[in-house]
Amino acid sequence: MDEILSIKKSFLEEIKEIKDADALEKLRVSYIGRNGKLTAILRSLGALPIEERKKIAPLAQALQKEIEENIKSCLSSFATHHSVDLTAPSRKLSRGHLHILTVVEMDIRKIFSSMNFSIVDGPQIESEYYNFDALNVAPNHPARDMWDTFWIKQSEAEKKDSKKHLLLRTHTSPNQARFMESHTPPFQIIVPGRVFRYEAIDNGHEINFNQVEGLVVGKDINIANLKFVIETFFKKFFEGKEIDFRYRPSYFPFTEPSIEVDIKLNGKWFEVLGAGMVHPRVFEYAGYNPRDWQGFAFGLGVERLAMIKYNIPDIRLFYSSDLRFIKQF
Amino acid sequence: MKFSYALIKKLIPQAPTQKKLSEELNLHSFEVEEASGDLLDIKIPANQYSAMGSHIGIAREVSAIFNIPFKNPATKVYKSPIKKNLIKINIQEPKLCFRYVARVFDFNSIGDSSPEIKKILNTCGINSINAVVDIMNLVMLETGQPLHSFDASKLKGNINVRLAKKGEKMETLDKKLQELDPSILVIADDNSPLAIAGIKGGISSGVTYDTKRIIVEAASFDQVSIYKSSRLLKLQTDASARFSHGISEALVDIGINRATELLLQAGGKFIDEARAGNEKIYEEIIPFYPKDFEKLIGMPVDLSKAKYYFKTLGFEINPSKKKGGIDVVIPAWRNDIQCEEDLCEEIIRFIGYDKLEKKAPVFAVQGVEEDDIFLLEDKVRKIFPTLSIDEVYNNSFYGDADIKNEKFNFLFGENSSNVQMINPSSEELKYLRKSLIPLLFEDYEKNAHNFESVRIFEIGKVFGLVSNKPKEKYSLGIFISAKKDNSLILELKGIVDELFKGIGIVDFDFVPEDGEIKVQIDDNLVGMLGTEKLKHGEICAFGEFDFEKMISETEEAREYIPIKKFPSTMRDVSVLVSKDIKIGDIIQRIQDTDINIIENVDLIDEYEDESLRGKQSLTFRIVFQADDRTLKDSEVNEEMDKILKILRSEFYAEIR
Repeated sequence: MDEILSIKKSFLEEIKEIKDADALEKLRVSYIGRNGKLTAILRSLGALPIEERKKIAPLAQALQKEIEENIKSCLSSFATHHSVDLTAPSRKLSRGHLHILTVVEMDIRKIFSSMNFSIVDGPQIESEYYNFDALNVAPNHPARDMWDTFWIKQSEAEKKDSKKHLLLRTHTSPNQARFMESHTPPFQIIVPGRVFRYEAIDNGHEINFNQVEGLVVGKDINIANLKFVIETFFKKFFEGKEIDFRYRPSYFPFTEPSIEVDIKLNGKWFEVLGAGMVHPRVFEYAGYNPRDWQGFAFGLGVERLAMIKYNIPDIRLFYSSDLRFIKQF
Repeated sequence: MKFSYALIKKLIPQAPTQKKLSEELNLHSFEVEEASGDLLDIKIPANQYSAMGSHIGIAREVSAIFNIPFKNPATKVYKSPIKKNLIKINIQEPKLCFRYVARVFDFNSIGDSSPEIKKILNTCGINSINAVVDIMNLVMLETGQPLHSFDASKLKGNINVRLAKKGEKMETLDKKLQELDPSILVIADDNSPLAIAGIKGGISSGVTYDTKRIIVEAASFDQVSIYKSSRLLKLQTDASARFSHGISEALVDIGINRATELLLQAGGKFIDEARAGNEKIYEEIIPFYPKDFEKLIGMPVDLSKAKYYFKTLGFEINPSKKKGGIDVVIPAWRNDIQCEEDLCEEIIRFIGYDKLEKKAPVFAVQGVEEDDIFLLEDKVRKIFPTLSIDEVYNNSFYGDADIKNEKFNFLFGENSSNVQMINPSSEELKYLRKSLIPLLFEDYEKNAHNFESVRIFEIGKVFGLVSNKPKEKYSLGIFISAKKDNSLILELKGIVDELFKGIGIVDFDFVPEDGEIKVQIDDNLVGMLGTEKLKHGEICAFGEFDFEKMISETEEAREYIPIKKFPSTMRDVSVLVSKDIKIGDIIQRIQDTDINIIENVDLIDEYEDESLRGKQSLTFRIVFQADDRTLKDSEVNEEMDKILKILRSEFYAEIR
């Protein structure tokens, strides 16, 4: 009797450790196989006196049954893994996808937030004054042709006053003037948003697209600082990639000096950003004394960065609403 | 602007190869857009046409970049011979024409230019005409001053710089008849216009192989006037591009003297000169201090190094009255240099921005702020993907067909209309969108053949003309479609439920009206929902929301509501009621029987068919739960009896 109890005890302990079907089979053989521990007892029953046999036989048979059941249920727990063809394709679940431009804009916002930039919004229908005059872009100067402009239908009287003459903003830069008029430095902001250009649509041009404007003003903000902020941004944006930077002189009426920034990624140069030191006249328009403040501004194209980062060949894809495109991201 | 490498090389023979040249110009001066054959196509910045719209300007850059000497060929000054008064100049519009210099040359014969000159002109996109006309163009390329030559024998009387008369016409050198407007400045003799000032010459007075006496014009015009005339006539020339950008009056003398030198070489005889307008050219003096450079750029510069670059660029240096600085005399043709910041740029670009070490700025730590719109956008964008709804970006423009598809007009009101552009990019894109819905319908069409259901949303600005004033606001549009689902709008209601709760709007109502559903917060209309059958028999549901109205409603912080401690009891009840009875009314009524212990009422089954003869079978699930105790069966039964009684008496319901 004691022997049967100890067999039971050792079996129950051993089966807890069993991890696969092979080991289970070995266990089965060692207990109820031809030379198993329990089998040996069952075989020896015939040799026992009848009184003792009556006492032990039911226990031994019960244990045999218990062992068999235990093995069976243990096996079936393995079997659930085996009965599924694991090479079959995964079930199709669905989630919604954010537009890739949203994802990129969120990344941009996050990086600048981490550098203590505030995030500011501005109107898309803008006055000629904020879009051009306040940015030192003189009226009737060909410099204005750098921005092909959509003009809003208005009365002749309104067209004569540049503060009332309306257009679709051609860049996010008007918010430099708007923000400065109502805030005192030091500050650092970015202004993400949609802008418009009156031009032919092709794989690199859209009539509406997204920009992010940056503006930092303080007592002694300089170009070396501009380089730092820009390089920090791009290194984070293209995380893990080797990037070279190239700075070229450029011209914007609202910055002096003005620069163009190129980055080299995977052996290829890309123009990614225009920037410069805020022109003293822009400070004057905003009501600042240019001798008190110094700052830099920059502008980058969201579509352009998305195209570079995700290898998207055609800007029109962003506005195609083709879910085969949108669901990729 | 097109430049000839051959001409640059002629001006500055030690110039490096074209490839090296264009690489370094890119890094220190301006963008070279193309460099092939003899051509260098350079993007001259809009403020530098006077300084750099010339091969001499480029040669100066090359000299400063590569530290190689440059000898300006256009420095010889020719004095007028004894005055014969062959011509007289009347500037009738001194505000539009500042200077006018005319020189008269006699020729025995006029031939062709050398192949070398022809090649240079050709590179720069200019046709070779004859030796005289070619010299005019070559000098413009060299010095940046546009010149014009007239056949003196074709002139009747004086040279008059005046505005065109109404109805006046002129045939230009390329044989096009231009109708002139009284805002356009012309060069005329006593009879008729000879040239459109600063833009193009007339054919009647053009110099040909037969011309014996020529008049060469070098003048300075108001840039705005030339810019406007050139746009009005839709006529852009090398000359008009230069004048429109504002070139210095100083170039007049430089150009006319260089032309004189070349005309003499070509066999011409300088016989007379007439001048009108300004003779005094002012030069700007700008003080420069190395400490200002360091403050703006972020690195120090030696005064000697600054002086070196200024001198290379042709600037004169005078001692400053204040300590530590210099006075820089800006040559008149460098009209792009207007302040000390400009001088700093001249130094740093030659030193090279790559030599400038980046430096972390010191920012005051203020709490970063984000405009509310971004915060709400972020919240909304967190929710939609979890409901299997994709985000789209549509154009801000659409046309007449789309206006018909604007389903709701609550965003800008009944009396609003669409904002229009003066210069739309096409008829189909002539309005700014007033609603996001029309383009979401188009998006559905584009995707319907690829996807079984289209579920999309967009956040963007919409525009409306309200009392003749253009207004804009942020809108949120949703569109979902399904193959066969007549009650798809209920799913949309569910989406809005999740959305509003997710962004922190708890109190809102769905108010059905004329087949649409108004979404209201305290009687304030914030959104509309609708549903339609689509062409292919599919169903869609769509909604639009005034995003800005939602912003003010989401500000309250959400608080934790304790999970109820006592178990709930569920009872289902099936009723047969008339189809006219609104499900929402029944649910509301059940709820109202005892708001303390009825936790929730939901519709779990809905069934209609002909055998029910105008009635609908509805099954409601009622959840009973109390805050302070476990409800007894008897209590719930009592409550159920009350509810059944109400259903029978108020809704004539047959309990099944």
